[in-house]
Amino acid sequence: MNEDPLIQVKNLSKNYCEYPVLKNISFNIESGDLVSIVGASGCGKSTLLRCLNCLETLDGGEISINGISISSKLALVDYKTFLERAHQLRQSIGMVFQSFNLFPHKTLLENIMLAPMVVKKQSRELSRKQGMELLEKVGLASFHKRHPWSISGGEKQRVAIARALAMNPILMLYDEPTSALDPEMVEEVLQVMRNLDRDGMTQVIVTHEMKFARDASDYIIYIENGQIVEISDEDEIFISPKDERTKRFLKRYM
Amino acid sequence: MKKFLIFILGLICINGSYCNELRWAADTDSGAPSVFYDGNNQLTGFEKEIVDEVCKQLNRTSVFYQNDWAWLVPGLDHGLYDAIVEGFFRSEENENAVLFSIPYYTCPLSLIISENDEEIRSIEQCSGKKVGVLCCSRPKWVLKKYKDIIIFEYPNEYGALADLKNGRVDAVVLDYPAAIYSLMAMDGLKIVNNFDKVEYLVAVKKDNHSLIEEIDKALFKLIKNGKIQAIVSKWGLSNSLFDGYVTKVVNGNEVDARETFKQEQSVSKFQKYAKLLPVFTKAAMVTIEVSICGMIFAVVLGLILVLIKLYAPRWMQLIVTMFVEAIRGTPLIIQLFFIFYGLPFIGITLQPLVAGIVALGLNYAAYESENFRAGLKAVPGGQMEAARALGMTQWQSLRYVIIPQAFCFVLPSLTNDFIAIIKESSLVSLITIVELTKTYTMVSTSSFDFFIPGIIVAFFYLLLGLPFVRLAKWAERHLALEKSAYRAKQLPQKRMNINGR
Repeated sequence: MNEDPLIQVKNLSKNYCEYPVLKNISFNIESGDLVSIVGASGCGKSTLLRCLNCLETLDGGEISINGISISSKLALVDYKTFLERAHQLRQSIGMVFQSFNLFPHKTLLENIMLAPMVVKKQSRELSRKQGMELLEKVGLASFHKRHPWSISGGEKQRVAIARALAMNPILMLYDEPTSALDPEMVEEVLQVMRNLDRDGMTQVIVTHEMKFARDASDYIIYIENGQIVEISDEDEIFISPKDERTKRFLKRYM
Repeated sequence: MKKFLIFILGLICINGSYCNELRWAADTDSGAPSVFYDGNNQLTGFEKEIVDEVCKQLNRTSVFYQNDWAWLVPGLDHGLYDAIVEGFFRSEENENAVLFSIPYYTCPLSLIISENDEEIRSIEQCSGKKVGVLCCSRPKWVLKKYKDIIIFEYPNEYGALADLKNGRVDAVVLDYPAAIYSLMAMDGLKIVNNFDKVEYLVAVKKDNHSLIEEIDKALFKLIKNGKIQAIVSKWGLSNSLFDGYVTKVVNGNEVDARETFKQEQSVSKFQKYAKLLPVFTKAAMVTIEVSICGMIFAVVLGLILVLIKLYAPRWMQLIVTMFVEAIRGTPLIIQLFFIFYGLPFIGITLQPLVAGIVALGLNYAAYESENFRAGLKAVPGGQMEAARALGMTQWQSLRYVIIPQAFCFVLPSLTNDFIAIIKESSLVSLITIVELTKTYTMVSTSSFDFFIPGIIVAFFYLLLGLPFVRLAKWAERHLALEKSAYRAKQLPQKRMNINGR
């Protein structure tokens, strides 16, 4: 196994129209960890996640995931290589969105089968078999012929997770996966994530579910105004936050 | 238009000069030597001079009305004018629609070929070849007897002869006067043979027996005193057929001059219209072929255009924008003429059907590209992100995720455009394609019956559009992206259940 951490982020910064959103962010994540990123709305945590998946360009710093590294410099010097690496990176990272973004013109099974068939040129039979297994894993095997509009939000998010897993990612990113869901549905989605953690999947979650963050995470990254305020063990941050700002934030959420 | 006609009619009545005028009509577009405007914008032509002589005989003033060829007879029926002098000839279809005078001119038909054609020497040798004629002309009517000849119809001599030059047809058959005059203006072509016979007659309204008698008498006098022969030879239109006719008139009496047309045993009106149905069905197939091919072309090209506009480098976007604006800003009819008659000048000679499909396709592609742009914009941004996050390239995301959804959004306006293209395809009748509209004018102008064929053709157009409306509705329901559409799909069934109880 690789000695280096799975994810290395060094001095990452990102601006939106000259306005800095992320300032000088650095952290490492080891393989198999479940990490929660918390913070107030608009603090830049979603942007951080999107940067990890190269859905945003970098304005400074460097990201290295599983040995593939991209940097803001590379984008300036050799844009083509940058795009190639970004594409390569995305293939090994699964991402789940707050608004699910299932493909409405396809059935649930087809949603899962599409990427392996198109990107990996996997055969239809194999993709179907794999798709059914994944639906089974998220407890929706009997729904495979239904369309996204006919299922609930929680079910949609479970399908979205299955769809991301179909590409056999080494890392899963979740962008507020439960924010659009009823409390009851939240639990079924979190359960899927707990199961994945048990299987050894590396997961990074941007969330407002403090209870889940506390119970399931290996550690928590707290961000405020585009900067990391505190990285700490989950118990530590909840019991005795080091920083004054973390204290204030947790008070509001717990 | 109607108001304008009433206004003119009103003017004439007020003047009270109605009885002292001979109001006659022709289409000046048919050009030299029949009736046309010369360089000084003065009405001239050998037929015009003959009419002037007739008016002198009748002691009436000549009043000229311009009307489009196809609508000369309806204008006559409408009472706009009293007579038509436009090289009308008698046929079994038009025999009972108007009254004809005795011939004022006769001539053969001329077979025109390219100067370096060594093969065709007579019309019999044209079997299996493409021959151009003017619509509703005597040559077209004559050529129908030769079953192997593929007939192409043109609205004017220029189109037919230009196509002969650039090889889209192998020969052209025109009336003798039109042939010699248009060959003066065009080199590289020659008349190889004169055959058959056409008689030019004055036409008046069915019930206007007194006027036709007057005109007949005048024409007799003019032939006997040599006035008409003088005009004909002045215009260089003398020929043996005309000379023979003149001799016959000069020696014989009035009855001999008027050749009776041998009519086939009369068929009932119903039978006559029933005979039209297969003709219109065949034409409808052409209309649908042009429309469907044009639409497919438009959809594919429109999609390519919009993808370039949204995702390609800037210089390509600029070209596409210019193309779209140029197409949207110019009339379809100009584009059609340019593609069919203009492009051969730079060596691109398209078959009529292809030219029609390309013209319609290009035109609609410009509109579809804007349509698709709206459709692509309507797909939520998260869809592209989700597809990219799954490792798809931009093209794969478009191909499998974005475009299929955009298609669902644009389907209603696509249906709209398809119905529009069915109707606009009538324009391709101007480049020799015989589709529904063309068939209507052909049938109507040869039989001078505009009413029932009009209803039939309208019915056919309606019939063509409806299945596509149904198909589009079905597709809309089955490509549904949302719950509401799904409910609409279920509703009829639920209603049935309630009734069942």
